[in-house]
Amino acid sequence: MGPLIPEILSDQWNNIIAIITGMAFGFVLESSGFSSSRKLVGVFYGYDFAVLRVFFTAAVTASIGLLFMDYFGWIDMAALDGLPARVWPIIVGGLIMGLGFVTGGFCPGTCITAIGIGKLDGYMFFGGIILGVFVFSEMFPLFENFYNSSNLGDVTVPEYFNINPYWFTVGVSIIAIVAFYAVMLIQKRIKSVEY
Amino acid sequence: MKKRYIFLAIVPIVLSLVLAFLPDKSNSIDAKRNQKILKSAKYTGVTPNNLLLESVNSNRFIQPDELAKVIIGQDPSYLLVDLRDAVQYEKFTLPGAINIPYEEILTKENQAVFDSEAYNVVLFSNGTIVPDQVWMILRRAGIKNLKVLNGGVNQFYQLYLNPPKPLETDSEEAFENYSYRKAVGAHLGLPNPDEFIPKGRENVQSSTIATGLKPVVKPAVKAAPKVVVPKKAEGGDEGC
Repeated sequence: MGPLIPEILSDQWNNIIAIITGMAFGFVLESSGFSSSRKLVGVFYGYDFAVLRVFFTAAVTASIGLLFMDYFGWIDMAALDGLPARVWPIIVGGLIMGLGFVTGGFCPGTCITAIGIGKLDGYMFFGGIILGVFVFSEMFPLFENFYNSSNLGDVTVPEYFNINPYWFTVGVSIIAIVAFYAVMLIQKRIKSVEY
Repeated sequence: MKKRYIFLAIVPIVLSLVLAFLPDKSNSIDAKRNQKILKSAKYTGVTPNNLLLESVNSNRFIQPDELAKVIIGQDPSYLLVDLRDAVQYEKFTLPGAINIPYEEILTKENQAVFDSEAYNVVLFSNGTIVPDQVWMILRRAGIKNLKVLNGGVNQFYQLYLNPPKPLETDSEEAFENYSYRKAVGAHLGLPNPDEFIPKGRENVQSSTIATGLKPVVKPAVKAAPKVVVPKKAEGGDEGC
């Protein structure tokens, strides 16, 4: 990586930085109101789009920030790695995750936030996660082939379609702004819900 | 619409446009795509600087006499890897060696063989050049406990088939070395150099080596590939 890591921040700091960023992340989640499942599922019923705004903003901010830091040579983007892009398993997994989200009212991170402020449904949801992880692990051999299928490797969208990552980021920013505007219009039409 | 929202909406678009028009991105992600493809085999190995230091250092070599001790003692902590092709391997190899032709060193199963904490892996071929290259590739791939047989299998057998006879004026140590090497030769089933008949050399060498040697340590070392196939931890990065 660049001078920021490992020269200024050496590898020994990894766990400490992880704890600090984790706490900051949890704090921001809680203060955005993400410990309330009514607010979270609002995105599915159209009365509250905070989830979409927060996560889309996070993605845009992070990508612009990383590209700038990369440009100044502070970090080396090529050394970052993501999960391998397994197309169909990710689509199916996303559907299952969405189903869990809309029925349970949390996503894995926000249920921890809910536990943090002592919500009982957060505890229930977390128990469900542990149960799901257990069932998944035990049944893993059954769908191992599917799990590893259609693997494109560790690619990003600009790499796969061979487009300029900078213009791709411009596009994503514009899409984000358009999406924010669109959901604002939707929200105006839908009867507001007290929660 | 509030003015604040308009301002906040303009910020990312302006910033990303600035990015797109920045001059000279030679050290940035676009230019590094190719490097990343090269690195896509998860890079965990030594840094280039350290590799350079290691490559001028002769610590990576295991000398034939050391290896002979390992073979005779049937030391189970050593795994001998023959990097020549299967034909040459079938003809003769070191006792207990397994065959991984050097074209196949980067396959998954073979990586697992190399990447075992339990063994010192000794790489050898006819000479030293191929194992040295393999050593360099594997070190870059982050594999430790690698040794290269100095001089290769040719020099190994040469040393025990025909050990250099010490002069009468040489030290006692040289004589001890000579008799040690003769003893190793006898253990490996090579003809005694004192009764050596140069005429029949080719036949003697190939026949004794091909028949007499292979099974010596084999059972102990053969188990190696089964031992460790470290499963890569995946997942765990949640979206939110």
